[in-house]
Amino acid sequence: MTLEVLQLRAPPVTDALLLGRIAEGGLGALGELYDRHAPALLTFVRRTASRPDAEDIVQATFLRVISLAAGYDTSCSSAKPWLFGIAVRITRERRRAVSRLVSFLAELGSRPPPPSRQAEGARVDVENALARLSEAKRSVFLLAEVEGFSCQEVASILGVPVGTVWTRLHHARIELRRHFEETP
Amino acid sequence: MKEQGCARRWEVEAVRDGRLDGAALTHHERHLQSCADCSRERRMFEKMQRAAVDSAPKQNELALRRLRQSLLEQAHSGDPTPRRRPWARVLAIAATMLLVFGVVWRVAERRPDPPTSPAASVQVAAVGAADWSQFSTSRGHRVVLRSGTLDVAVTRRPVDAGLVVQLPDGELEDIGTVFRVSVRDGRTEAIDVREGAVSFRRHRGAAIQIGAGERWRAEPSRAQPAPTSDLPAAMSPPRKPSAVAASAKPPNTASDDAAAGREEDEAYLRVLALVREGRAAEARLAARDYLKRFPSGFRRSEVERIAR
Repeated sequence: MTLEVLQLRAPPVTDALLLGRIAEGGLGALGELYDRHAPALLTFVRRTASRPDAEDIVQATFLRVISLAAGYDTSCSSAKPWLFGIAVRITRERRRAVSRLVSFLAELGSRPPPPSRQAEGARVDVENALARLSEAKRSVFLLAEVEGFSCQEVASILGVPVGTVWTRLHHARIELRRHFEETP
Repeated sequence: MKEQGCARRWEVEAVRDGRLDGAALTHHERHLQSCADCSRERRMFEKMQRAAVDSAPKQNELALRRLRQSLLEQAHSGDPTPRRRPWARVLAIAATMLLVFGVVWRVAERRPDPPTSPAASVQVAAVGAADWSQFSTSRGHRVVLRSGTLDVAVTRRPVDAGLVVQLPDGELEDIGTVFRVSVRDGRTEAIDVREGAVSFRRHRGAAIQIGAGERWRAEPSRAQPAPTSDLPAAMSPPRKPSAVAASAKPPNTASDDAAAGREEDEAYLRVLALVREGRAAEARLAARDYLKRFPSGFRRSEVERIAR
């Protein structure tokens, strides 16, 4: 009974609290933050960056969290948009790097032939449709429609005006709609 | 043929993007119940969203655990936080100091070069046969004249170091000058100043300032001569400790004696004239000037009273 009361009264460990501990050097808090957000982050990064890079980018994101934790705005209830923002920046940095070319060439050699629509299921169809979008439109669509961020949050994550987010989202939907209208 | 849909279909997307709220949102919801076109539009968006969510690559739990382990190991061993990297700060401080030292050294190294460059500000030409040399130091440009005659033209800014002509029996410092100097038998024989002024400092005796248009000639007796001017005396501009900045040493000849006496008289009379005119402050300055020039002057005691 007493234990239950204590558990009820214990304040929830928020992301802000975890980041405060990380800033003080608590690696346990880093593990907890990872458990909360890494799956969604990895899913998103896998669909915007090349598959071999995705895990590296997620790892780099959490490593960067250690140095950025002290500057986290504690008024934000969830660190998810903040983490996605870091991941997007790292993805862009990697794209700019020369290693991207090396990675691309390596991937090119081992890339399987594009699956035919008849042979693959609906999941691959959607992935192909998403893959045909530009990186900017794909990121906006995934963040807004899959991850559930508001357009303002997406704008903040990507560092673009919210009007740009609306425009990209609109065009992404038009392109995807064609695919869905063709598919029974 | 273009499909004609509901004119308010755009609202479906606006709602999804959070661009409609309040009364507009309520109005749209009511419209949606009666508009098949907008309802179909909304279902399409929901279908796309569901498909995108469902088609997400499935997470490999083992891969996630492996990644977690790797992350924590790297975070523990790599110490990626800046505050845990004191060497980085030390390195930054060292680099900054190196940069500052480099700039200071560069500035210090370059400072003496341009103002004292002989090619830029000093022109020296021998008149006939002359034994001379020149060199630059951190304190300025120096010309050594052992014998013969030199024409010297010095053009310099006030901040530049001056030119010094080293003579067997003293040295000559220019003050923005065009002049000619001659040396014979180990002593300075003549100085002619065409522009500006020079200060002639001999090893024995007080400094003499020679202005534009003035000449200085050595006396055969090696006594200290006074500068003379091409201009009438009344037209010559007054000079401070100039004309002859008086000798601390007693003159050797009768003519020197007389000249020194005349100067002392003039200085004393000037003090008296100022006192009589009631210009006390100027009289005090003139008296101090007299005491400075003639420390063992004949009217010393009287002038000391005025100087106080």
